[in-house]
Amino acid sequence: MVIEMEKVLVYDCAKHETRIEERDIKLPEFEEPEPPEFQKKLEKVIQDVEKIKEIVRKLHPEITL
Amino acid sequence: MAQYYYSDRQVKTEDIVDSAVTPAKLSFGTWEKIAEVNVTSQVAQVDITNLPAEDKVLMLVLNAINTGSLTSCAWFIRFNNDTGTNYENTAYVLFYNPNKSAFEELQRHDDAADRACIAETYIPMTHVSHSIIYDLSSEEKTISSYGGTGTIVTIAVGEWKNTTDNITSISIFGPSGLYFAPGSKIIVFRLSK
Repeated sequence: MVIEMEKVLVYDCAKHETRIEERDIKLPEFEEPEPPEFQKKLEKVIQDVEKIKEIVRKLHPEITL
Repeated sequence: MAQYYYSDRQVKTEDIVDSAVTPAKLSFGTWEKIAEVNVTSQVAQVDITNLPAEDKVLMLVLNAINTGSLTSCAWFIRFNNDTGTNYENTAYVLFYNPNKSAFEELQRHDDAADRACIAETYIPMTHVSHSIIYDLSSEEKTISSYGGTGTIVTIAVGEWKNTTDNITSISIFGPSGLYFAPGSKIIVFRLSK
């Protein structure tokens, strides 16, 4: 959380009035979200495929992958 | 009081003053508009204040045009200026996958408690959503939000863990660096009694 001096638009439901205030407000900091589960699984599969390719290359260098 | 009748015995709605159209005059439940905020210059936060301190059901309609250094991010909600860690939230961002003819989970967020607010929805760029808020003073206040633009839809649920007060103010804001651009609009409706 960060505290920043910012403009706030305030609507008063009792008076039906709108005003702008400039004051300190507490804001969350932006965080990049975690990659979704299926994306993590896909990355794991890609890594596994690369490992298999490496084994095949060692065993059968005549095969182009 | 004088009474007037039209020859066809029909009511001309244009002759009824707005103040005379009260919930009691309607035979069905309806949503009463209690706040409408139009953003005309860039602001970081919008506060809806002086909401009636009584049990109620609210509908918050948000049409937020994002601007600032972050244009792809979430909007957050805080009640009664409570900046303590008294909130819980889970939000799902779903995107439409035409190859599967179905929506798939793109992101899941469970991060409200440490942000002292509820993540309203996570929608990139222009953000249109509606939220239903149940405000019973003796129970946790719950909020469910539905939003979406294009092929992305967000469903978010959360609660404010306060069991003593009614909601008297709602603050809507983004993370540091995100602003409401001019043209943004927020409307609050209350379910009629």
